Amino acid sequence: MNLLYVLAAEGPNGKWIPSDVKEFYWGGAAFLIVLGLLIWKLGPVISKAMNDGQQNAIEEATAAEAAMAEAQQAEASLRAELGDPEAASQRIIADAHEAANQLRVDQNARTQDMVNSMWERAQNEVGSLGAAATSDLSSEVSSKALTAAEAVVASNLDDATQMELIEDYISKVGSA
Amino acid sequence: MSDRHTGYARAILEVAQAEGNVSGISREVFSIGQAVAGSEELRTTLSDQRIPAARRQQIVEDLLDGKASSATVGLVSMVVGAGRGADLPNIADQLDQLAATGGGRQVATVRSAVALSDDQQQRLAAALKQSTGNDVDLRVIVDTSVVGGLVTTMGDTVIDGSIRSRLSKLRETL
Repeated sequence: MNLLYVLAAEGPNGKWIPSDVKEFYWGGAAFLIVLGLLIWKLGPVISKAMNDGQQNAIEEATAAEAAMAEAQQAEASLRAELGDPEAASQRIIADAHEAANQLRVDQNARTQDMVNSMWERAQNEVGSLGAAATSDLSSEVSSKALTAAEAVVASNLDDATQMELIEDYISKVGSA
Repeated sequence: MSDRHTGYARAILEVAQAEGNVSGISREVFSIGQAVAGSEELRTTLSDQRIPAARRQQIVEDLLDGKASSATVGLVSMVVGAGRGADLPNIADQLDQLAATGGGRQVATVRSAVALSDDQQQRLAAALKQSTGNDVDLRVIVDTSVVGGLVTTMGDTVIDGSIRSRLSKLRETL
């Protein structure tokens, strides 16, 4: 239609209908031919483009809906996993307290066992050391006493005593 | 005792019998054996093969000069010259046993802290004869570890009258 306006504006007679009817017909025919060619060649392309755009829009909308559904599902799953954050936190703290208490109990038991073992071992060692010390002391006292006795005997063993011992020995052998 | 000790002891005994002085020679050999047993230096010197035999024999003769009969000196010199100086204690013990057995006598080894006089030795030999019924040859060894008194050994029999044994009993009691 714009073409008609142009044609009309450019008409030599200043009217929108050319003065020459043939020209009008030829012009109309040419217009129709051009229009037909346009429809014939461009129509499918335009239609296809419009269909593609519509299809893309539909697919995008479908994908968006799917993504939204997936996000909602993930959110629901996450919420299900987390549950109540406060409750989960308290449960974790409670577990930690329980583990700490058990650890303390075990540690106390081990410490007590170790103390008992050390105490028993120490008592045994003290007993052994006491016995050894008593034995050593007894041996030491005996040795000292014997050394003292030897010293006393040696100091008293003069020649006269030696001779007396020998004579006593000879007389005892003779009388045996 | 080895056969070697017995062989040397028999050789010495035969010489002593030939000399008619078995008791005296065996007593002197015993004393020399005790001296060798009590001196590591003497034992080593008399058995040192690096020292010529003549030199070792000269040492023996110098040591025994005037202290033993010439027969004893010659016999001991023979043993030392043969390189058996270190065996003298065992040879002397073996000689004592052979001499005692051959003469019907018994050898008594007496340990004393002090030396015994001849009179004490005779009375002790008489006392031992009275106790055992056999004639006894005494071998007196001065041993200060006895402390006091006497210890007599005759074969397997030990008559211990020493102060050392009394102190040992005291130690066991304590």
